Amino acid sequence: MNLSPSPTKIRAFTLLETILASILFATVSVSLAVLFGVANRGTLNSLHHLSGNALASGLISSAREDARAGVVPENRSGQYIFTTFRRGNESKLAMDYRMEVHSPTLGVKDVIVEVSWEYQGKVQKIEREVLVSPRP
Amino acid sequence: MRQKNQQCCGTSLVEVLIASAVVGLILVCTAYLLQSCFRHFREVDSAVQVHLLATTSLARIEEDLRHANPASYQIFTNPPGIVFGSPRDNAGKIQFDPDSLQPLWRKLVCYYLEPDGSRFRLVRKEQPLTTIDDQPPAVGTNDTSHFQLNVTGGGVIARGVESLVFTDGSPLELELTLSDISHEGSSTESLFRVQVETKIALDN
Repeated sequence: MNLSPSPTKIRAFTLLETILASILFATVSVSLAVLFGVANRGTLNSLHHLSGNALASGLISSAREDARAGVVPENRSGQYIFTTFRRGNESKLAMDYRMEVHSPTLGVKDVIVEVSWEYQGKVQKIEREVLVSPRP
Repeated sequence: MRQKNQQCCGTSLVEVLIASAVVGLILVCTAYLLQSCFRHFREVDSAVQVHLLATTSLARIEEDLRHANPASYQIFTNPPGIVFGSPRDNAGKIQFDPDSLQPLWRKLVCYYLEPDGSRFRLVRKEQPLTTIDDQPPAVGTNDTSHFQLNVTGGGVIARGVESLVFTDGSPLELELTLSDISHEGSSTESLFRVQVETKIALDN
C-alpha cells in the first residue's frame, strides 16, 4: 500500500497566455498614463475657460453698469496676465480682452466682448454679446 | 483510480496565497488611486476658487478705478492699498455738471490689505466728499490707515491675499496675488498661488 502523496502535476502558463497578459497589462498601463495626462490638460483648460468666462461676464457687467450710470460704453481692450504656482511649477497665461460697442439702433448699444488666450498652440476664444440702453 | 481523483482536486495553498496577494495588491492600488483622486479634486477645487476670486477681485478694482482721475489717486504702502476719487453715487450713477460737462465727484474709495491670519484680506471702503463739484478731489490726509482706523462699513472683497501692488504710471499697473493651501498641516499639503496683473487707463 503506497501512502505517500502522488506527485502534483503543475501546469505552467503557456507562451500565448504570458504574451496576452503582458499585452493587456501594457495596454492598461499606457491607457492610464494617457488618461492622467488628458485629465490634467482638461482640468487646466477648464480652469482657463472659467477665468475667461468670469472676465467676459465682468466686462458685460461693466458695460451694463456704465449704461446704468449714464455713461455710453466705449471700445476697450486690455490684457490680464495670470501666473500660477503649483507644486513648484510656474506657468503663465495671458488673456486678451476686447470690448466693441456698435450702435444698431438709436439709443441701444450692441456690446461685443471677446476674451482670447493661447493654450498649447491653439487660440481659445470666448465671445459674448449684449444689448444695453444707456440711461438718458 | 485514487491518483486520478487527487489530480483533479481544487486549488493548492500556494495558488490561494498568490491569488490573495494579487487581490490585496489590487485593493491597495485601488484605495491609493481613490485617495489620490479625492486629493486631486480638492486641490483643483481650491485652485479654481483662487483663480476665480483673483479674476473677479481684479475686475472689481479695475471697474472702480476706471472712472477715476489720473490726478486724484494715491498709492500707499502701510497698509498697502490705494485711495482715489470716484464720481459714482450710491446708486452707481454718474452725474455731470451741466456747464462744464465734467463728472461730479462724490466720494473717496479705498482698497487696502488687512492682516488675516498668515495672509491678508482685501477690503474696500468709501467716504463721501463734503463738497460735490466737478473738480477731482485731492486724497490729502485720507490715506489707507485713515480708512482702516476711522472709516466704518465697507466690505471684504477677497481673502487669502498675499500681496496687492500698484505701480504708478499711465496706465496704472495693478498686481494681485492670492493663494490657498489645501490639506494644511498634513503630509500632502500643497500650495496654489495665482498672480493676476493688468493695466488700467483712468478715463475721467
